[in-house]
Amino acid sequence: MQFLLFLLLIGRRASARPHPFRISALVPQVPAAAFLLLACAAGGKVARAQEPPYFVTYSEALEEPGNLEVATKNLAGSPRDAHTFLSSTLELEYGATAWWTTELYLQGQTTAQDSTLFTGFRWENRFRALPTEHRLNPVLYVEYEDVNGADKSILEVTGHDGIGDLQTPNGEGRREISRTMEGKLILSSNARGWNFSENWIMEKNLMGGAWEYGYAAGVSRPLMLRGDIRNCVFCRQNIGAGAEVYGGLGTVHDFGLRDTSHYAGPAANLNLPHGPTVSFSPQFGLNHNSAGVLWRFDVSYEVQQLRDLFHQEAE
Amino acid sequence: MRSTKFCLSIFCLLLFAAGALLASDGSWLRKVPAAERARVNPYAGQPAAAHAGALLFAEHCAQCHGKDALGHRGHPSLRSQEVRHATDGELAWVLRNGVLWKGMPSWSILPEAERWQIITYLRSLQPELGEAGTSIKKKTAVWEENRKTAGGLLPVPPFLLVHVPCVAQA
Repeated sequence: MQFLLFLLLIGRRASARPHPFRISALVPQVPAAAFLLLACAAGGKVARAQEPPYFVTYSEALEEPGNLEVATKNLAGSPRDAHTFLSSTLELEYGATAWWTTELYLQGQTTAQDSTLFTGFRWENRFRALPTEHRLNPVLYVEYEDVNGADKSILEVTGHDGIGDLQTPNGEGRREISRTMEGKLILSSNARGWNFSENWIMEKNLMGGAWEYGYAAGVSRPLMLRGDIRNCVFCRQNIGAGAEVYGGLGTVHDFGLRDTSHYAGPAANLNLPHGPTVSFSPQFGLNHNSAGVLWRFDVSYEVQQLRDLFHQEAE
Repeated sequence: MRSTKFCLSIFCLLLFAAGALLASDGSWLRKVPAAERARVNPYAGQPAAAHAGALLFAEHCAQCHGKDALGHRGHPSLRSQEVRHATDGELAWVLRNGVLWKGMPSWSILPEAERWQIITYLRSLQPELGEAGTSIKKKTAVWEENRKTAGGLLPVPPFLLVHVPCVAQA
């Protein structure tokens, strides 16, 4: 699928110089596929993930305890004055408890007429701050990230991130290593079937640099709020639709919107009963410092009660 | 290096705070506010809602509580006395909030109507299985006897009010 998507995206540039697509572009997805097959073979059940269709914004939804979600998050784009790229991120999300979810990301990208490379990893943790549901539900997010400058996953936008980061050749970008700690305050509400989520982001490069800030917000709703009596795939209850917006807010020295980039777009997902969740979103740059359009495409599987595979059945 | 230590300290502090906050024990039933307790299931007794609830149960709940809701691998049975005697409002509260310190996640991300459908399904489950079922079956038999004696004028007791489908079968 990624191969086809990538071919479609680079098709119009291929006539100038055929891009040698490298199978290594799919390397980040290999552990996910292997792990998923292993879990299925061992008896784990694969089912849908139940989350709003956001790509950057986090909601209060945590992974159910004992479940492992394996997802591939893909982003493709053709920024101005830069080559078409496809970024692939493998996400392993595990519900440690009902109030703590931990995730590992492995990131890579391939750029037309340039190269394919692994760009780094990130480890994140989300903690539900309050034991009961309220109108506004806070979730605390802490992340450690070790990526190089060639990373194009855009899992968040902070500080003065912009189109310049996407125009840098891979050979140059990969030499710039950044190790950062990132915190987010996730605020989320559920009302009448709607989910409203807002994220306030602060990021600090441990190798030097100022605190950087960003934001993300999303709103979504399933197309139908009641469960259907049929066990159908394309029932409206299985489809979620919404929109999200995100961008940078400068640094501690120059907080604001100057020289920042922002994106917004609709998002939708299809939760296949006892199957994967497929999400799609075109996201549009809102100012001159943003890439024109980013195409996002995710597939996620949830392996239910993975930890039960390692426990004996209690008599 | 100082920044790394600082960030790690913050991380540990957050982890400890979250753990301490959620480590309190106690029955979830005691935590349900009175207003929530009294809420009425808009789908109570509707077979279509119970059927839709069964599909939702299989999708979201069966992974822990078992296909037959009897619980497995340390996850509790949903045919227990505690669940049987809980009101619909109490079950709705626990589905919305979860019991985080005991491993039950919040299902607030599911639309409220779907949560009510799941409760309708739980109420439709047969009471014959397990100790709880035996107890309710005995109580139902006694009530049936008394009702016949009273010429059918005996009011329905609370333990049967939350088991509408069982009354229908009785």
